[in-house]
This record gives sequence, C-alpha cells and structure tokens, in this order.
Amino acid sequence: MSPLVRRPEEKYKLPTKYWLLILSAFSVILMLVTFVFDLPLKPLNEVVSYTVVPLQKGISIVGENLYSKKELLKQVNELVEKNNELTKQVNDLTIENSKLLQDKIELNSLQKLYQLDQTYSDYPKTGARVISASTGNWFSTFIIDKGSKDGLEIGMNVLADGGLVGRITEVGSNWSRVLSIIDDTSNVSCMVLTTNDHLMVSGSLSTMENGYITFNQLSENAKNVEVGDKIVTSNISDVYFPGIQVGNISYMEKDSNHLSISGYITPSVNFEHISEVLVITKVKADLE
Amino acid sequence: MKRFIIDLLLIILFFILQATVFPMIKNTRIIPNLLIILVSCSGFMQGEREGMFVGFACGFLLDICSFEIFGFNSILYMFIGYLNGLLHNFFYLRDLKIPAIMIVSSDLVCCLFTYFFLFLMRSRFNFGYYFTYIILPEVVFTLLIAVIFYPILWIIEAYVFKKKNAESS
Repeated sequence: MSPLVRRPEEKYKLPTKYWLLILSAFSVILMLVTFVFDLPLKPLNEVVSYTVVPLQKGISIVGENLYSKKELLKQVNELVEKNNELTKQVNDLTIENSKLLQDKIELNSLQKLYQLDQTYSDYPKTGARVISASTGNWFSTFIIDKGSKDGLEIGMNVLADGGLVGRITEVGSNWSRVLSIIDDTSNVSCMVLTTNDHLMVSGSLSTMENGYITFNQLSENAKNVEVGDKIVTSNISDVYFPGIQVGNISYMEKDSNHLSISGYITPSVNFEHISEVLVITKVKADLE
Repeated sequence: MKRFIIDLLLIILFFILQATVFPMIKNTRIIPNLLIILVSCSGFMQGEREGMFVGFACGFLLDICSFEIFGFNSILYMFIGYLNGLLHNFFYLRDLKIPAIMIVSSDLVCCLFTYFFLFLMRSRFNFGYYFTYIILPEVVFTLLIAVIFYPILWIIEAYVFKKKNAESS
C-alpha cells in the first residue's frame, strides 16, 4: 500500500492549525460582541451555573467551618478581655443612645416634613455568601452564590459591614459577579457627608496595597472638607442608592491645575475578609 | 475519551483551587496562577493540539467568571497552550529545567498581556510598580506551586497514559 493513502480505520481529525484559527475567530467575535456591542452572554453564564458553582459553594462552606473552628479556640481568651472592655463601652453608649434617640425623634418629624423618610436601611436586602474571589491579581471582582433565581439583577448594590462593597455586573441563574469599588475599573459618584460636595471615587490597584482607594474631581471651592470626613454615595449617581457609606478621607491635595482636589480614601469595608454580603434587591433606575 | 475526562476534571479542579481555595488560605494578596501551570504542562506534555484545547477551556472558564471583555483570556491561554505544545519534542520526563522555564515564561507572557491590554490601555503607565508588586510575586509564587503540581501531572501523564518517553528517558 502506498504510504500516501490513508488507512481506512484511522478517524479523520481536523488539523490543529484549523482548530486554532476557528477558536481564535470565535474568541475575537465574542470579544467584539461583549466589548463593542455590550451584549450579555446568558447561555454561556449557565455553563458555570451547573459545573463550577455547586462545587465552589460546597468548598466555601466547608472551608468557612474549618476556619471558624480554628478561630474559635484562638478567640476565647480574646473574648473575655473584650467583654470587659465592651461592658464599659455599653454604659457609655447607653447614655449617648438616649441622647441620639431624642435627635432621631426630631429628625423623623423633620424628614416627614420633607418626605425624605426612606434611607438605605429601609430597602429590602438579601444575604449572600462569597464563593469565589477574582481569579487573578489584577481585578477585584468576586462571585456570590445567588443569582436571577433569587431575584438579583444587574446593577443592584452590594453592602457589607454597613458600607458599600460594589455592584452586580453579571447574573447567572445561581450566581452573580460583583464588581467591588476597589477594582481598578470602578468609579463611584460620591459626596462628602457633612458638606454635600460631590467627588468621584475610583478604585486603584496600586494604592490598594496600602489600603486606600483614590478620589478626584472634588471642587477647589469645597473649603470645609477635611481629612477624616465621611464619604457617602451621592444622590446624583445613577446606579448607587444615596447615602451609603463608602469611607473616610485620609489624604488630600490640590491638583496641579488648581481647580480640583484629589486624594485617598480609606474604605469602611474590610475587603480582605469578606465572606458574606448584603444585596439591596432593588435597582435604582426602577425607583425613578 | 479517557484523556478528555481527565483533562476536564483537572481543569475544574485547578480552577476551583485557584478561585476558591487559594483566596481562602492566602496570607498575602497575591495568588498563584494555577491554570497557567495546567495549560503550560498539558501543552508541553501532550502536544500542541491538547495544549490548545486545554488552554481554550481554561481561558473560557476565566472569561465567564472574571472578565468584562469576553474572549480575551480564551485567546491568550489558547495561544500559550499551543506555543508550549510546539516544544513537545523536547519533553523528557526526568528533566525539570525546561518545564520550569516554560511555566515561568508562560505566566510572564500572560501577565504582560494583561497589563498591556487591560491596564496600559487605560493609561496606567506605572509599569515599574505593577511589575514589582503584581507580576513578579505572582510568577515566583506560581513557580513554587508548580514544584508541587508538576509531579502530579507528571504521574498522570506517565502512568495513566503510558507515555513512551517515560521508558526512553
């Protein structure tokens, strides 16, 4: 038999070079679809819903249990100490609380006058567990274990420890991806709580090493803003609800153009140890 | 068929290790790039065809779970797998130098592409910072982890698939 004739029992395989070409073209088309036209890829998201997410859920539950057992032993001593400290603090706070309660009654009556009685603590929220961190060192996104089945939608705000964590950018049937405010591509429109001056808070990979995110576009005329001031989400933001705590200013300086001020903010959420988050199950666009 | 199932299981295992297990136990902010170890090794051990498919599958999973630009990781990991596969002829099972170099250079290429397309394009010019604090620790950590995972992949390759090179070397 001539060596050029293919043996009949051998199955025909498409040469590797053609596969390379086909898969490259496929990827490029996907890139164009998502980047240029910004279309969601629902069916592809479902691939993960049934393969990886169930496993990740299991592992994160087991891991958390192991971790909490280990921590439990370590913390018993600390707790006794802390208990004493806290009882002292409770006494102080009770006094302060009664004072604040009076303020609150006054505030309520005033808010009723302005019909502004809805703060973010009143929005319906649902808890979710973080099951996967971002898969590299470049971006700060993570995956939570609830999705469209639980009523989550793109654009919903995510909180933890009473502060802003980020927003949902992608939803599968039983998982969703959260873009945190410390991510390098994230921008949040915020304001200074005391003076209502608007500024833009941007996540930054390079300053997050020291625990900061950056802000800019604070007007130079905002004279009363000081280091330590509280930053909350602004009422002009189109994705974030107003009044959610973001962090405190820890450093500020005038830009070289003498028109604006920029600097660093310490976020109020500890992003190193997020295991559970709260999702506000309303989208801001629906309210308006 | 056997190869397909084992590859699929390995991809899912490595992905879960990287995305869920390592962030849980890490003490530093840097996590190693386990998937690049798998892609590089399967290219190197099994040839460009398998390397390409494994690379594409890994990149695809990463794309679904972490990226805005869908397809970026797919194409990057696929080419890394394919290029590693071209060196399949140098595959001697006892030799550790070449796979180490391959893994390091693959991870480096992966990081540099990520920096170039996803950070430099958004005018983050401070390459020195990103190189010393993100890329270098990741590459070193990945190499250290590869010392553990390479023998596992090696055993699968040598005993499950009865590679001919195993006897010849």
